[in-house]
Amino acid sequence: MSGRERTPQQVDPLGALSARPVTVLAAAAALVYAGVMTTTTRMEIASLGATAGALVALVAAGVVLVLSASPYRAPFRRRSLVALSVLSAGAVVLSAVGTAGRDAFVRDDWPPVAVGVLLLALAPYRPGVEIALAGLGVALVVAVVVVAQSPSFVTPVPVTSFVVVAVTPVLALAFAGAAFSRTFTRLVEEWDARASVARSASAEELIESVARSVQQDRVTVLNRDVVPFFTSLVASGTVQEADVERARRIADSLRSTMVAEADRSWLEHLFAGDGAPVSGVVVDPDRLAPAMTGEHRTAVRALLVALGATDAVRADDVQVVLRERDGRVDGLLSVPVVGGEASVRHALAPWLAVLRVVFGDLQVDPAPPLLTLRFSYDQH
Amino acid sequence: MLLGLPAHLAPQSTGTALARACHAIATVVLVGAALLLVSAQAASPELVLWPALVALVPLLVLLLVVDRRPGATSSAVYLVLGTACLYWYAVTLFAQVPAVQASDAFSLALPKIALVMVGGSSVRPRQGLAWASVGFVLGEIVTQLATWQTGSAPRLDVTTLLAFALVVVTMGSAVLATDRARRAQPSLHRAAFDQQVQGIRHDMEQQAAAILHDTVLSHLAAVATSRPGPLDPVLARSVAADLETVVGQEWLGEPERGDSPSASADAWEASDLARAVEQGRDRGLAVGVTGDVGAVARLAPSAGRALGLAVAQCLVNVERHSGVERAEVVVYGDGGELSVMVIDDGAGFDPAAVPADRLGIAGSVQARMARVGGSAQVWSSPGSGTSVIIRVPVVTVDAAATASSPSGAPSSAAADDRDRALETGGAA
Repeated sequence: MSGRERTPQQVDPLGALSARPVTVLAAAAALVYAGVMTTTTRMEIASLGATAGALVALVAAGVVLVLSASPYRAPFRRRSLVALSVLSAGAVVLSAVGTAGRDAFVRDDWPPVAVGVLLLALAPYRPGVEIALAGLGVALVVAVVVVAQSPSFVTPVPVTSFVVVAVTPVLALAFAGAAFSRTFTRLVEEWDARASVARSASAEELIESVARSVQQDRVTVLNRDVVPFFTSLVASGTVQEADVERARRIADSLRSTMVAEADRSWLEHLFAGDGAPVSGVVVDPDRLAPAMTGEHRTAVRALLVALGATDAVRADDVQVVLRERDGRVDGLLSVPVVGGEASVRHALAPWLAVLRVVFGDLQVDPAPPLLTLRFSYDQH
Repeated sequence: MLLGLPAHLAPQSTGTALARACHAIATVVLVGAALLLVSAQAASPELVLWPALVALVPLLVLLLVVDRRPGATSSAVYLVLGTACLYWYAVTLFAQVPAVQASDAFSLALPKIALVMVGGSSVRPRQGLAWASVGFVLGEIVTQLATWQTGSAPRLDVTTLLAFALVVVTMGSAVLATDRARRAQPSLHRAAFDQQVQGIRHDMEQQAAAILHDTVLSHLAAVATSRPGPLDPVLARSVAADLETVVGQEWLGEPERGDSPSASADAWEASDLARAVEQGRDRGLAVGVTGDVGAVARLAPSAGRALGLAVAQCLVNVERHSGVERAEVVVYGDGGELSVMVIDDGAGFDPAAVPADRLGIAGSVQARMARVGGSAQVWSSPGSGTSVIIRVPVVTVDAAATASSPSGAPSSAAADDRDRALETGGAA
């Protein structure tokens, strides 16, 4: 199993792909809310620079969210979550500086809600624990800032009440994101475990039918030369001069056929078999294709099938090169593009998103004339 | 790993996860409301705030019920009783807290948000929207009622409205999502299945290659090196056995043999390893056996079979290539592993110089042991003999039956070794 993290995006890449519009919407909503609240409470602004800085920090956090959630940058990394949290905390602090001494009400300050929405939007991409911790961290910053601001508040309630009012939106939204992430990941994993049990049960039946078919193939080969030869040998009870030569010839041909069959990797089978989805060249002199994990193979196989099903590329001219470098394997897949870059992206986006999650370091260059994919994996 | 949910399960899972997210929000806002009450009470001990605090308790309990047992009944109970609690809470606050004199006060919004976050039934995500709307409307009605009764100022509660908008947008987009991306999901599941079949097939082909190497190819080689004249009786029997088993029987099928590792002292006698040694001796090789031979009893049947066949092939190699007529087999069990060394003092060879088309060590020994989770290493150089070290994990029968590779390529125990043919066909 590869080093996939337990996030909704990584257990269900296509689900995260379809959650992307909501992510963009959340970033936009946070910005609009901050803008509207800044405008309606503009009388409280003490430092225009700091207020503008707070909005810039929030915009930056939103940009980090939207870019990191892009299917072309998947998977969403922890460092993006950290960057988003730090920028959010910066927005909290700058916003407080911007209204220092003139902030009358806690509840019309925008940072808790705006930052909370950004943290909530992390739900499809990061583990629940991380989102919850980020929420706690930002909430702590919010709490400290509110205590510092409290002398200017006009509502006649204790400081602890201000802290609760300011911290509640951050924690509620961040914990909501954490709950979604954790629940969804768990549900997918549970389903996957059930499906795997069913699969291994059906594998038992598969083994029998595959065994029959493989044996039939072998017997067909044996019936051609070996069986007549052995039969005549046993019948005559003697070895003739010609038999020696014939035995050597049959042995050589049998060995070379069998070596070719047993040596052909799953990838080469995919290019060569009957009804192969793609054709082209597999350059794999060191037999590195078998070193891919089951997930790698599934994702690559699905992509190759998808290449064969779309008109955007020429699936009869696919090239895959696998080379070893420092214990890892560098993979390169290229295929001529027929339509434009946009049509390739449109046709293959889901499969590329899955590959990204599975390989982690996938680089895609869809620019004509070649769609080029670069990836690497450990030798398992 | 199947790389994602099938399309028909995705809305349900998203619905369940969204409901959980709503409940997280409800919990935080209710706790927040309680903390605000405690804070106000501590600052102004003369206020009578405990009735409001008491009103929050059933809400939290009901929230737990809705979270554990989502459904129409629990949601309805949550909303009806929750509305009553909210009324009680609002009246207390309006009457007691000077800072709360309008219907949009933050501390009033908190339990209202908790009503909106009812979550609803996870099986039908659409209904979640309806439940949230009912919660929103009930919360507004009952707060306005309390406002009117206590003579407070009615105002639009933007906070609750935003919370409601959040639920509508997220749940709505989950319901409306056309899931263009999901069109790829069937192809992923199909690819996982094809990969599995291909893995099984590849395994089978390697097994078949190993069996054919040990039988048909081995005997063809024997014929090719024999002098014209009468057929050697031993070779004649082997060739006849090939015709009978390899061509005539199901040699790749599921083995019917149900024997399990027995702990008895004669486990060695019954083992495939002992049989391999006997076969070697029958052919005139002097095979010395030393070490913890009883340890073979701890091998799963498939591993024991593979080990026997692999050692048999090693002994054949000694006989054919070493130029000596003596080999040592050393057995030692070490924790979770059984190791077997096959050593000769013969001619030796350069392992790196073996042509790639030779199946012997690679197919009959290394690949065969890899299939049962073991390994084989060859140490040799020209003139200084050859040592083959074979390692096999010691597993229980149960583990061998259940341990299966979840990824594409079935390995080791899942694809039980089916190299039975040699027992009858023989490398003799």
